[in-house]
Amino acid sequence: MFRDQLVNTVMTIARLKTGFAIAFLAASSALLPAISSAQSFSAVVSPPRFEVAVQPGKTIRQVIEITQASNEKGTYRVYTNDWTIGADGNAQFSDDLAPNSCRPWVSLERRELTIAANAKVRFRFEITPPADASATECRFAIMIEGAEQVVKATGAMTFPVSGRVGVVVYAGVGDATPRLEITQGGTRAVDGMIVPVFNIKNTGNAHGRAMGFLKGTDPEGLKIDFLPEPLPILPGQTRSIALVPQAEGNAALKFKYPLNIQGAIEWSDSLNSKKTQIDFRFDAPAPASPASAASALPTPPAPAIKAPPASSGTAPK
Amino acid sequence: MRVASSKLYLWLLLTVCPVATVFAEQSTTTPARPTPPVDDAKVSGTYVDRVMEGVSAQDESDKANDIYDSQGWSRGFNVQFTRNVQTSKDNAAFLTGSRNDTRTETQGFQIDTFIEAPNFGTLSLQALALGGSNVSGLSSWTLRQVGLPFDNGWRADNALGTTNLLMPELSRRSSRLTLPGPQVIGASTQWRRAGSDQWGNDELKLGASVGEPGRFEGFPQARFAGSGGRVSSVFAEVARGPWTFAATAAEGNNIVPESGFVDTDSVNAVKRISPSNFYLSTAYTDRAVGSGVPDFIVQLSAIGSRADGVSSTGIYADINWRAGAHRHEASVFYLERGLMWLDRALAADLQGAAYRYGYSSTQWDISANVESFDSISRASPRGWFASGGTRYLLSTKLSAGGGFAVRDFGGNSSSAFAYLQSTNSYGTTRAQVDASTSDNGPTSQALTLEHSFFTEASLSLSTTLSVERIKPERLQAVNDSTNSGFVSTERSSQNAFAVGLNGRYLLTDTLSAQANLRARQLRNADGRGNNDSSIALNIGLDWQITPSWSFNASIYENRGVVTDSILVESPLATPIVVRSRPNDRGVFVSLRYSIRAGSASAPLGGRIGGGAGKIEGTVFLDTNGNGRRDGNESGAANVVVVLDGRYTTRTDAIGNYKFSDVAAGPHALTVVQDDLPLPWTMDIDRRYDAPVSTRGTTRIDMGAKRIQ
Repeated sequence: MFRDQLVNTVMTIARLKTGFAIAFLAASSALLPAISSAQSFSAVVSPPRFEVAVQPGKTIRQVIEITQASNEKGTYRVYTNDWTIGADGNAQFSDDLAPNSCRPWVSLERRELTIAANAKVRFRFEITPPADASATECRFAIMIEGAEQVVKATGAMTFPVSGRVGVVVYAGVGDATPRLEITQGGTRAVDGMIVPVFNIKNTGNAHGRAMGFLKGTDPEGLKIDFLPEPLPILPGQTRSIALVPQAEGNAALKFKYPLNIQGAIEWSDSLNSKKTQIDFRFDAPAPASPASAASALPTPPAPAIKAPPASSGTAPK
Repeated sequence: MRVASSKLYLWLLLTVCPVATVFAEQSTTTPARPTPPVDDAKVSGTYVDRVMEGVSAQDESDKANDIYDSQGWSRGFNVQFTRNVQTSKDNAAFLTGSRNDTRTETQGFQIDTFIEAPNFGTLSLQALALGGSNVSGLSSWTLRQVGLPFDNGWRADNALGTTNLLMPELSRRSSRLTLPGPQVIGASTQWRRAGSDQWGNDELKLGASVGEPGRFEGFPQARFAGSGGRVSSVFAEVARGPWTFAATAAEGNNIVPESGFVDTDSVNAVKRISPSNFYLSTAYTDRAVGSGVPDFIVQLSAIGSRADGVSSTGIYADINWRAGAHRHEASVFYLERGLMWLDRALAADLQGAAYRYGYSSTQWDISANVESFDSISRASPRGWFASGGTRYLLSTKLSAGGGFAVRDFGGNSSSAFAYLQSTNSYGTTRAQVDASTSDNGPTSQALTLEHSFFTEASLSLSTTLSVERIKPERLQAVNDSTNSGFVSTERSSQNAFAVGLNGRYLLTDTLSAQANLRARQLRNADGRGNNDSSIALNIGLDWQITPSWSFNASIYENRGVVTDSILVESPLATPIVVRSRPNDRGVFVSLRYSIRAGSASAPLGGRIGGGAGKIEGTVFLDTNGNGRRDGNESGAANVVVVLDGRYTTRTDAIGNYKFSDVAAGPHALTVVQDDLPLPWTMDIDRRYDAPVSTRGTTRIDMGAKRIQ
């Protein structure tokens, strides 16, 4: 189910980001007598991310399904990027080869792709770690970028139209595994609600995610279910993970601090599953100034889509 | 080719990226050897990705040259040629081991086309013609017109051909008592109006339909088989604030009851009926602020039926409410004996009450249902039915659940199941145990293992294994020329073993194979008697030859009857007529051509599919200032006319202008006076009202006056 949500998110964000340019064009066309037809970014990509395992010296092949959701053909450039998570929680993508990048282990089916209208293409890529590779996690992104179109309007105005979508790949090499250490954090605002936060440190050599069902109890005995944000925590990284309260049916979400939260945090990579029992008490947050409250807002859980040449992105999945 | 591509690759890397040269050398000399991560010192510049070698990339470029024709109205056209070669025999012949197979060869020609015609809705035609050894002619066809706009917010949907008898939406809202809409070959029209009218209604729907009832039969080319007679219905449904009202009248003339429509060969022997029905219902709905999800619903419905001299009435009232994660539904019902809706039998001869409960949270899903019954005719003693189910997520990868159903009404029967489901590195595995028992019917216990494999994107695969122990029913129905009723039987227990497989593999971007198998072997535990087996198999190949052309081929075999678990159902459930399917095997191929073109367009000032008309007229030089164009007054050429301050056009050489596609409703025209020849002008603030009606033409002549 969560996988479906991710797919939907990627599709939606891709349309939103590229749709901005299209919406702008549409708005402009109401003012201008004529406008040339333009190719818009219409690629729908599945899956939005890969979490796979591969042994040193072996090759693993995976397939991305790219659908041209348009009545016009689409031309795309396909390439890899390195990425990491910046201090602001957003992904930073880079064309340049990062130190210790595993992109040289990666082969793409091709670098240019033309897809017929409404057609679907299975795009293949391979990962081949060297035989002497030590346990690690190979992380990179496959970027699918629409060929930039310059749309000419009657008069002297032109609009560059393009967009790209990134598919994040986590490939565990050998016995790479996450090792999460969970400590109590404070609170922060999520969608206008102050929620408790964990600080999770990953001392392993593969990324991890916090999952599981947590029970909260407020001072009046009200029981609330919480789910941790399913964001990746990269090796060596400490990340603030909010616990999101779950509304039951049509009941309003209202709870008070101090809040006791108990349950098991499950964390795993694609193969391993481990649990950490937690029992934390979160006190009422101190009143925050407007500025600090704004900075505490969470980053939107969106995949990487940016119009080139900007290289920063949003939170990866 | 491979050498050439390697050279090109090397050239690219050498010229584009010095860093990548290292990898180029390695990949060209030892292509299969992986490349280690780069050292920090070597990192600079833009990296050029390696390209897989030894892989024949699917070249989409040729197909991509097909250019979509976006001109004209949005339209689509599909045509399909099919051929089916089938060998079949009915179940009786199969059970007796008869070898009298029937071989049929059938060709099909199917058209499915549509066009979105502004102002006339979406017009579509679906038709299937079959020809062969046992069937020929037009097997089913439907001509539809959806979304035909009219003024004041009315829209109409019309259908001619194979369609459904129309029913109001309210008749499908009650969870326990829904009214079926039989399939007919005939005609239907439904009119709906959204938005407040002069009577304060928020929505109004009116519908009428008539036709010969029937059903689709045949595999894989289904044809509509009429059963004779005629059914008709008219309904009205109105929503006003939180209240909704619906009324329906329906009648049948010389039709076959569905329960008697088992064997087409014996249709003429079945007694026909001429029923008449009415349905009245009202509901009050309170919706949650913001989400619009109903929080509280009260509905009261009444059904009346008269068939074969028997008049029956049914009354059903239920109330639904939500409180947080808790959902409640309480009902009372009074359903007289013989209650029917046209050709379908409904739950009947029952009175009682029911309560349902549901709860959903992050980890829990719980449902419970209790129903109490009494036979109105006293044909059966008082009884009850209860069912429940739960699912609990122990972790994100492990869940458990179970359920039960117990019925004590006209005999005792019960069933229960429990399962455990786990997601692991190989996929998702589910183990389930089922058990059922009844007074005189069969009893069974079953263990089922299901697994859906985690596979690469090009493959999907799920499997099922099941073992079952069945004790056949002790009383067996007999209805032949000499005996009628039940006889006691002493059959030994049976063991069943069943397998299931469902898979699909994408061979290339355009070619995929799929398989579906359900097989069951039934053996008598004492080793005596005949063993029964059943199989349902379908293996197919799909080939997308070009974006427009596709080909499909499949082989299939159906033997025996693959049954599902024995169900214990509420007496309130609408009785289901189980139909047997002949044993058959065959080959089915189809060639399909599909094309779409055009683009949807919205009228000026409206939305796609909205009603529209025209505005036309003249800008003229009003010499005598009387506001009308007289014979000696000339038109003003090349003057810009503005519609609603947004859309513009110019007058032609004789002063005529036209907006050919304008949304129905009020509009205003202005003229840009700067374009008028001197000494002519128009009042700057002059706006000409231009009301437009759907498919109508509004004529507005605008006169310029001479500057004094």
